[in-house]
Amino acid sequence: MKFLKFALLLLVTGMLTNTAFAQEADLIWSPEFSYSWKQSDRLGFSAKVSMFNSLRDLDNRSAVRYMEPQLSFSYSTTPRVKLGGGYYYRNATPFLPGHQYEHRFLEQIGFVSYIGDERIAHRLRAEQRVRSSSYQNRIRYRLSYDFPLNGEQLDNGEKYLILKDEVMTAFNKDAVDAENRADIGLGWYFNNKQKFELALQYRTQDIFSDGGISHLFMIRTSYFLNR
Amino acid sequence: MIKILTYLISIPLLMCTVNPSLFAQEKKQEVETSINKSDMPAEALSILNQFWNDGKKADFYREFDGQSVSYEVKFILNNYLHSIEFDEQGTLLDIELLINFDETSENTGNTIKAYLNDQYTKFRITRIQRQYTSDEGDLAELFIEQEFDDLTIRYELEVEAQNKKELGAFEFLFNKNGQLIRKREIVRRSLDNIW
Repeated sequence: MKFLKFALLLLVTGMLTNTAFAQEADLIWSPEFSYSWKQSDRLGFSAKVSMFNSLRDLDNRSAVRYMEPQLSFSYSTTPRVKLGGGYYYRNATPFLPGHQYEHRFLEQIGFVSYIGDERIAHRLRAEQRVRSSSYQNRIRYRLSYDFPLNGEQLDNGEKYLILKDEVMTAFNKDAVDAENRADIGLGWYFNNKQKFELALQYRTQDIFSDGGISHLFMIRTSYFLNR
Repeated sequence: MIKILTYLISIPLLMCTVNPSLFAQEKKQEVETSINKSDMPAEALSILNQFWNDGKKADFYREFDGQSVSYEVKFILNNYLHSIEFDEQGTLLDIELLINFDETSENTGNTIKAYLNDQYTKFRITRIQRQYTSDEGDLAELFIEQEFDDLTIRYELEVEAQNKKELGAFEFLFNKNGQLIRKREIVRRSLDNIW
């Protein structure tokens, strides 16, 4: 079963990579660093910084598209349900003149279920994006699934697979649009304080746009630290 | 251009070097590794053959708790998931069956529920195993011959629970009368990558 899942992952990865290069979709590398800590059994915080780097523009100053520091909190109402909120700051094209910013506020609810050490998580998030030139609301729903590759439980030094899909709609008084984000990734679980993920994300953007659907491919490298 | 490349390379490297003291606080945990049947101790396989034959599917694991090594075999027999644990030499340690809570005796079930009700405002039993051990006789033989009166029976429960002070998942070990022997918190993986 695990072999089938892994083979499926490789197949999907290969197909999506081919699609990306064939369609000359936007190619992004996003390094992320996340540091989380629990204040109590119920209350937790997370600080994160991430970047968007265009792999097609590495030879010029527009390579760095965004930098995003963010801070969020979560409150567990039950062992499986969390409520939370947070704030993001996005600095767009920081190395180009006239760079733009965005303040983003978010509220979310999450539910996780366990099948042994396999986890299925649902997340519903509302966002308010205050940009230097506009305002936008966004509603997002994400389904995530991760599971150990070796044995029933994920032990130190073992790898896991993670699959995610997120649908969202963005709207303001002038326009509405939609987007889908599909992720497949491989994780290295060093111990209960550290893990690393290498993931591939495929975004189908501007679904309701008159200009037609656009595609984005992202390689995500994420390092997670917990206290 | 060089400045941008330096920037791109240095940020991830800096990320990996933040707060090195955290890297030293590694906590010892039980590590379970999937293994082949041929990696099991010969003595364990010999005992196992009394319950299980090669035609049936089984999963084999090696466990290390930081101090000692043990081996575990999991397979379905008579519609129950059996987990059979051996020590490093292949001596049988215990046999566990995954059961439903209503398969405990009424008295035992009521005593366990009364304890959980007393301790927590809300709880959910997510897993229960009936555990067989033997202090004196041959555990495998007694188990196969269903001489359960000569075996020590315990119940291992995984429970999600909450009260004013605690919230999380816990493992409880109760004796056959439903009295608590041991409780420990199950440390779950952080949700930071899926939350």
